[in-house]
Amino acid sequence: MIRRRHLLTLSTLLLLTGATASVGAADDPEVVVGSKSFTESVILGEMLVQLAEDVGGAARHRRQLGGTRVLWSALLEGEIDAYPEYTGTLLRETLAEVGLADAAELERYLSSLSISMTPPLGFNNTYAIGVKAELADRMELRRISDLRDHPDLILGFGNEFMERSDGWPGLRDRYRLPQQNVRGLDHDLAYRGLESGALHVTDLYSTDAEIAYYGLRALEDDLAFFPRYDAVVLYRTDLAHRLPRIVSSFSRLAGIIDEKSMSRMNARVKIHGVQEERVANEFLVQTLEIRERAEPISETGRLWQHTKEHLVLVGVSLSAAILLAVPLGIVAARQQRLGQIILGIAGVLQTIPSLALFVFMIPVLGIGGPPAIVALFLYSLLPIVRNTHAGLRDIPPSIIDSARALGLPPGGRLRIVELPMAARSIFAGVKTSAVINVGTATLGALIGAGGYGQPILTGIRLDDMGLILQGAVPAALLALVVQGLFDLVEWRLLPRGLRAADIPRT
Amino acid sequence: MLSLSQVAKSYGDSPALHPTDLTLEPGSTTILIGPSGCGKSTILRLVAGLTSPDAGSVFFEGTRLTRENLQMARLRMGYVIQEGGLFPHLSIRDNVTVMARYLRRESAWIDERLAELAELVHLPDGLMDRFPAELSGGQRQRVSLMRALMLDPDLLLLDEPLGALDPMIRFRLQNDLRSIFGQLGKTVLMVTHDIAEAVHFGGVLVLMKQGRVVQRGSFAELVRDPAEPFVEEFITAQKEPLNTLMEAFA
Repeated sequence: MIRRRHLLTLSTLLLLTGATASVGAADDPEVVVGSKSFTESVILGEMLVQLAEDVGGAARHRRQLGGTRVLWSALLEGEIDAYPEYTGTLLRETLAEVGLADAAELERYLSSLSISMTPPLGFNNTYAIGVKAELADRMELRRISDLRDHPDLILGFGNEFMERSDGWPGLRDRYRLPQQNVRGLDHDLAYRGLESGALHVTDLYSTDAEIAYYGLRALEDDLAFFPRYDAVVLYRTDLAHRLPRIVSSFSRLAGIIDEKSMSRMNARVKIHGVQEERVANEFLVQTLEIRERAEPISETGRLWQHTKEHLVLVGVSLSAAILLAVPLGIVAARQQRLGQIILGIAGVLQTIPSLALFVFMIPVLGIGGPPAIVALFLYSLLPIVRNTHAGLRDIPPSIIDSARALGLPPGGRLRIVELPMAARSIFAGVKTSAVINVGTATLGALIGAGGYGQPILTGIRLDDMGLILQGAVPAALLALVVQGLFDLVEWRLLPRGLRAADIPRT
Repeated sequence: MLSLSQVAKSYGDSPALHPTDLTLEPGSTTILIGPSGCGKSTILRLVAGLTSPDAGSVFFEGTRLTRENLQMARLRMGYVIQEGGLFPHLSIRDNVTVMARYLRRESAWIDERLAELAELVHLPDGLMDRFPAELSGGQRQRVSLMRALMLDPDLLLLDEPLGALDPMIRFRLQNDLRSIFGQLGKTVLMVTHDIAEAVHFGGVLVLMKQGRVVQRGSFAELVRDPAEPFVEEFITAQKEPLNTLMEAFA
């Protein structure tokens, strides 16, 4: 028989990398809670989960999703049922174009979108502009207007604040601020920048634990630019019909969290390193007398969970990419012009920043595993297509002539001669894709896909190097393991004649 | 057995072969010879269907070669090129038997044929499971010839089969080839640029220049009665090694 095992190359790869997707179902009696990627939101999200469970409901927490827009569209699409939000954000940012005047109008407008809002939870987490206390004293900064006299100050704001209309653009216009050196960065990193002196001014959330911890001073908003940011819970109106007990349990939060308690809870997590579940639970036990919670999932349990999620992301996306990219590479090698178009498209996909590609998927596929898998799939195409194409094109013409003159028809030529000879190049492409895929999959956590990105995100938020390493080290190890596996498969499948150091130039 | 009728081919604007007629009798040996770029390899590629004629037709065993019947016709032709064109990823055995196995010939028949051919081309024992890179250039050409002969074709096409070998090996292989052709009685169409080699194989020489056949005949005819000054020029250019032969025929 002609080497049948070449035929098996692809299917074996798929078996090795393939894992079955465990994508969340939509119609189960489970409430899905979302939270933004900062500590307070995660604590509040955790409270919602525990309140749901307190009345016998099942709840899932999609923690620290990448920003307000992601959560808002996920709520509209029904990807999540509820998340903690702030009135000011809705009025001035999310729904700014609608031009709503107050909370009452907001509530009416939301109901037209089939979204409901609980009464305020009790605290106002407004934006503030902060500087280190000693700098404030030295430069006599008390009000935001005072910044006008110091154009050389370096400003660093959270990425969302940089873009939001109730953030830097509006603030700059209202106060006519002259500073040129303004950068966007992660909100939690901004505090560290301030501490190290790399930044002078940043945006604060008034309940942030760091204000006291780092000895910061909030400048007076003398032109009353910032609105109130009353914390509320947004939930889909259909949840009230589907799971009324859970909704009424949520509303028990109304009015019970004041600024001091919220600030203290933030500090417990960020400064004292207590887990959000624990902090949320302690508060709810004290105020609402819900049951005390058992210890949260163990570290190893968590690691295993992230490993499974990561393997699904990589396995499914990479298998699908191999299945599509190898045939595309073959077509590209056969048809010059079509080939240019295919390579062009795959190349353009590669130039889209990976973070952006993930976020682009949200309107189409929502949040969680599926959009992340599609983004990773698109990202994995180019190296495989390109190497398949190159591997086939690099076969010496005399070899192709020989195969044709022997009478092998095109299909036979491809199977018996061309693919085996291009195998080394194709494998190199697959390995490149696999390593990129494992690394890029860590960004999946930003859109709720979990994986090793989850501890990395949390670690960045909490400035916890250990937590970052808990994601980064397994991801690096996984990349090595995947590469090793493919080396093994390649060694098993690559024809022995090609394993010799040199291919004769025939 | 094989005839070309007004076959022409150009690559882009430059004509590789002007309209040409050529006929091969069954069992004959025909050597296409001439300086590089004269169109001799183009004729071979046209016969093997590796490139298609712009005009004219190639008839093989009475049938005009078309895209449809080409695949079948190729099974009755053996093709050997310079440096063999062996598949580097297949063992010697697999290289020789690739087409027979593709056509699902019986394995007993395949083994028998393989042994027969190894003997015919004097391939040393124990090389069957090696890979082309592990063989010498001469051994690779012997294997290439085995592969061409595997399905017992009627026509052998050889494109500079010995072009890349060093002189000693080349000389030995020339002798072996000549005796193999003599034993098999197949129709042979071979391309070479080396007149000594052409003469060595005997048969009809077809001297070409710039896409045209200049003269066709035995070496004696070419020497005695050159069709144009180029014939003499081409022969005398390679005269030194041919001195003895020239004297014998003069």
